[in-house]
Amino acid sequence: MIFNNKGAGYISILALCSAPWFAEANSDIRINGFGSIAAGYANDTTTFRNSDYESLLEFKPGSRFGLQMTADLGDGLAATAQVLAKGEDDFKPEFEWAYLSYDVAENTTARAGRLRIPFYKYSDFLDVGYAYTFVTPPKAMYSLEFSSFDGLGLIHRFELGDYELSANVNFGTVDDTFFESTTPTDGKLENFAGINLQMSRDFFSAYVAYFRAELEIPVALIETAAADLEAFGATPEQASSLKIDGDEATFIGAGFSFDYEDIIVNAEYSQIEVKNALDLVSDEWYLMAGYRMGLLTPYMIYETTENKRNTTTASTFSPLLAPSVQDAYDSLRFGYDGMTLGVRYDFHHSAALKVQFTRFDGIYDVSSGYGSLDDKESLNSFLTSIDFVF
Amino acid sequence: MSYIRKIVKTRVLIVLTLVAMSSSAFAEIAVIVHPSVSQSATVKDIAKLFLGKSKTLPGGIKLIPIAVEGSGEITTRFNKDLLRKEDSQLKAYWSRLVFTGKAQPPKDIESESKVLELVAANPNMIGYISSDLVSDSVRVLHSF
Repeated sequence: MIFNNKGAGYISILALCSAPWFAEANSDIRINGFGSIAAGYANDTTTFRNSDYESLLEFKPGSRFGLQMTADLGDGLAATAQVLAKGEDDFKPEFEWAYLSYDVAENTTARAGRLRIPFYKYSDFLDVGYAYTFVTPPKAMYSLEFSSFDGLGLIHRFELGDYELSANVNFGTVDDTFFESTTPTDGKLENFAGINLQMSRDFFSAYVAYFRAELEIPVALIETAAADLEAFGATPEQASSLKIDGDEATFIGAGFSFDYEDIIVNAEYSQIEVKNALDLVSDEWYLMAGYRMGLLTPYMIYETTENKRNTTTASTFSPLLAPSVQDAYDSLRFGYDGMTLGVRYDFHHSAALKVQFTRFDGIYDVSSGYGSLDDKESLNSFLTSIDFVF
Repeated sequence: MSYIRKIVKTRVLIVLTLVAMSSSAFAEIAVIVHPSVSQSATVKDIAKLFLGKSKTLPGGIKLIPIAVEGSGEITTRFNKDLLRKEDSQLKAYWSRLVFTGKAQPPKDIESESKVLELVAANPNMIGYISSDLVSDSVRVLHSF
C-alpha cells in the first residue's frame, strides 16, 4: 500500500490544488476528491499488526485525503492521476493511480501507467471510505501491503444473457517496501500478471481473481538465516528454498454480494502462496451483512485468517539443521478471527459517519510474540470515521 | 341558497387548486432526447446510460446523459424511481466508478429549462425534466 517514490507526489498535489478554477474554464478536466477523518482505540498497548491503533484514541492512522484529476483528451483518450495523502505516512502525498486510458473499442479500455491491483472487491477504491459501508474493509483479508502496480491493464465489458461481465487483465511490476509491519524490505514483484473477472445481475454480483508474480524480496532476517544454514552445511538450493529470490507467488480470490431491497450481504475469500520460500500459505475470508434503514445502515462482519504449518521444507534439511528450519517456519504462524458490529449514518449528501466495534479473538502472531497457538490473545477495538467525497 | 352555492363553488375551487398543486408537485418526469433520435429505449436502457454502464442506446446511437443539479426533488425522484437508488447509495456507487477511473457521473446542469435547451440543441444528449416543461424542440423517450 505504500510507495516510496515520494518526490513526484509533491509537485502533483500543487498542480491539483490550483486546478479547480481551470476545471471551470475547460470542461474536459474533472477534479474529484475524497477523504476520511478517522479515529480509533484498542484496549491493549501491544500493537496487533491488523489493528492500527493502540490504547490511546488516535486520529492519524486511518485519516486520508485524495484528489483525482481526469483529463478527457478526446477520441477515447484520457489521463487520470490520483494523489493520496495518508495519516499513517504523515500525510505525504503519493501517487496511487497515474495512467493513460484509451477506449480501444466500444466496450474495451486499455490503460497504461500506475494502476490498482484488482485483488479484492474493494481494492480499486480501498481509500475511498465513502464508497463502502464499513470503516475499513476487514483486515483479515485486506492486509496485502501493496495495492498498485506499474504496467498495462485491459478492461473488457460484455454481456452474457442477463449478466453483465467485466474482465480486467493486468500485466506489470511492483516495486515497493514489503512486510512493512514486521520486517520492512524493499523488493520487487516481476512478471506480475492476472485477471479479475466480475459478473453482475440486478441485485447479485460476484468475482473471481487470479494473480501470479515472481517475488524478489531479500528480507534481511531470512538472508542471514540462509547464509548461516549454508555455513553449517546446507546446499545453496536448500538455502534458496528459504529465500524469497525470484519465487513464484500466487493469489486466488473470489467473492459475491447481494444488495436486495435494503439487505446487503457480502463475502470474500482469498488464498496467498509464495512457493519455495520461508512463507506460509494463508487462507482468509469474511462475511458481512447489513440492513439499510433510510440513513442508517447497521452491519456486522465475521472475519478470519489462518496460515498453514509447513513441515515439508524442514524435512529436506539434514537432521542437524531441520529443527532450526522448522522453528523458522513455525515462527510465522499467524491467525485470528474477529467479530464486528457497526453502523453507517449518511448524515449529509456527501458525507457519512461510521462507528464500529470489533472483538478480535484467538490471536496468535508467533513472530511478534502477541499470542501463541497455546495461549491466544484477544483484543477489543473501536473505530470511527467521517468519510466524504467532493 | 346563493350563499350555499357560493360556498360549494369556493370549495370546488379549493379542491381543484389542491388537485392542481398536488399534480404539479408530483408531475411526471420525462426522459428527453433530440427529435432526430428515433430509437426507442426501455427503462433498463435508460438506467444503463445514467449509471455509466453503457454509452449507447440499442441501435448504436451514442448519448451523453445530463442530470439536474442539486438534491432537488426531480433528481431524487429520478434516481429513486428510474435508477432504483437512494441519493446516498448513488453517490457511493459513483465514487466507486470515479475513483477507479472507470466512469464519470452525468454532468449536473443548473436547471430543468437549461437541460431542455441543451437537449434541444444536441443530438447526442439525454436528460430528464418535468413533463409539463416538455416542448416540441425535444422528443420524449420515456415518462413516468
